[in-house]
Amino acid sequence: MVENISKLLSDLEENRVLELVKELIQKGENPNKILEAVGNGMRLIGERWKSKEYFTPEVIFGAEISHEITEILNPILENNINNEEKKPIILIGTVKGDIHDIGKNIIISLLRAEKFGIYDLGVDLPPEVFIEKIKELKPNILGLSGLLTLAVDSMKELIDKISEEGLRENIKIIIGGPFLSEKTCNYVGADAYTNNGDDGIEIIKNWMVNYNGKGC
Amino acid sequence: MAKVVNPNKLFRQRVRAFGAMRDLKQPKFTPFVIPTKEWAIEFYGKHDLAAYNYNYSLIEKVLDHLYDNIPMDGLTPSYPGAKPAPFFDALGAKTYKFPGRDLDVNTASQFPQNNIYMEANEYPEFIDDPIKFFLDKSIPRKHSNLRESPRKELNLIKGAMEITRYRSIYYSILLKIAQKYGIPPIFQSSIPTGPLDFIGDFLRTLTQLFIDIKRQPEEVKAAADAIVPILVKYGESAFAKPATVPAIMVPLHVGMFLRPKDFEEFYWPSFKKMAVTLINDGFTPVFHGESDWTPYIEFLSELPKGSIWLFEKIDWDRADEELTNLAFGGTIPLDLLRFGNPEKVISEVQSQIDKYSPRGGFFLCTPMPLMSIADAKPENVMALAKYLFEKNFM
Repeated sequence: MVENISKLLSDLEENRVLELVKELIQKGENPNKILEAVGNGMRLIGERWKSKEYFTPEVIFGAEISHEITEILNPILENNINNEEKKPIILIGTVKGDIHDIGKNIIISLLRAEKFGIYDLGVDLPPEVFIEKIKELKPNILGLSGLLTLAVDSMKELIDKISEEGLRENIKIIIGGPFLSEKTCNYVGADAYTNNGDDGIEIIKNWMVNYNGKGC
Repeated sequence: MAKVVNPNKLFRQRVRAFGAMRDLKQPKFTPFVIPTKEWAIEFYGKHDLAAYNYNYSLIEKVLDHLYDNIPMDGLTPSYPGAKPAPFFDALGAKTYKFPGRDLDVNTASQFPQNNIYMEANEYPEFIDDPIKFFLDKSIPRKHSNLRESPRKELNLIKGAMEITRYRSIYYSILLKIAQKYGIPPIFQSSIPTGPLDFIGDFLRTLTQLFIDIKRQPEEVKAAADAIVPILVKYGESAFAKPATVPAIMVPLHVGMFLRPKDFEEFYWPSFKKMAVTLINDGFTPVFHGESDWTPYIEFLSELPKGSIWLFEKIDWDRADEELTNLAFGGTIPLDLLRFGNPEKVISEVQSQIDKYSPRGGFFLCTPMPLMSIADAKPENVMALAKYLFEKNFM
């Protein structure tokens, strides 16, 4: 029964999956198991996205349904489980001068399904905010997002500052944006770039597994 | 450079070249135009970006410096480097984030994607009468100074005066530049965006639109249909009568988020209706297709002749071969202008001319407007423009 949640979620059957969740809760199902099934459902969505069966709207709608399920589960989760804080291993944000966040939000919803601890900083962020959070959270990976071409120089400025602060060695940096290329990746000093996100997820997964993902 | 050739003659030659390019015939030369937006302001380099949003006449020196150093074949009024911030301020508009007000003084103004101006349950009301919906609902939501209050009328008049002032200054500067350098304004008018894009950009946000497509598909389609005549009228109203190349710029960015079967169902019908109406009415829509349009080439091949496309990304060889019904540009990559050197830029662009100019409907352009000076090294753009000018006119 619980497994059906993953299938229905990945088929984007909003009403059916919500009904099933409510039914399972009434029957006393462990909310943790439901959450796990939601994660699996999002992972299936990620796979269908990678194979180009799904595009951005499907991922966004999947994330929306997941959010609705979490809302239903939240009151029970608070009573039931001691919410273990995950180490924020991925820090992600849109760089200075750019206020766009769709790309960043898609990546975040898919990485959450992979059970990575993710810290979302927001948009239009000056380098100081990133530096402060890197020092505080010590993430393994930094994801920098930008839709506009002006983001390139903000990315470079930030990565230069990270190096100046002596923080570059311990962190892998991936940049994401539709206009990015190998040349821009080298120019800003990142380890990898992604134009569409699905290969970005793969690079991050590889880094997390063996820490020698493809660079640029 | 431009000064040694008679500007009137240049103007006529350039208009003819654009007309021929649009008609998919062989122009005498391949037209070259790059929308330079904020790049031109930084290239001039005298003031913060923010200053231009308030002091409209400053842009004259920017454009004079630009076209004196970089002769191009068309002005691009619908890609201004500055926006009239006092107009938006008078109306209390939340529609843009401006340098100096919401962003750093040197960051280009941006359009936030997260303000909802129509609720999901309001589609029927919008579909029934879009104009009424704008007046009663979305405009007051967007503009705090246009909500019911004793000052509402006054704010509206203030806004109207400000936009009139901006337009009269901006267009008189453009006219002067056009006459001095013999550069015709192309991409004169604009439509804010395509029909389904409009629902996302101006009413629901993109994220909500994508969710609406899943939850209330029929209403989304009907809303996109309902906005078509209004967008058409908006674009066409800028012209007293159709000019030689009455180009109407329309940026598009929602379609390529959709998988082809959803593109066909949700994006294409209302978009095609708008494109066909503009063409049949004697206008030249210039569609700026953001992101990758390769998956939609088959749809584009259905359009009647008469549109110009600026593609941000597409399989250029397929476009050349399969899109014999439209003119396109966008082949000069920003990486080339950013990281290349003059020799490399000139040789790559010349090879693009050799490859695509035989089709007729081809113009030289970057895939997107230049937003910051780092997008393209000035020496590269200057060298390219000089090369093309000498080749075409000397």
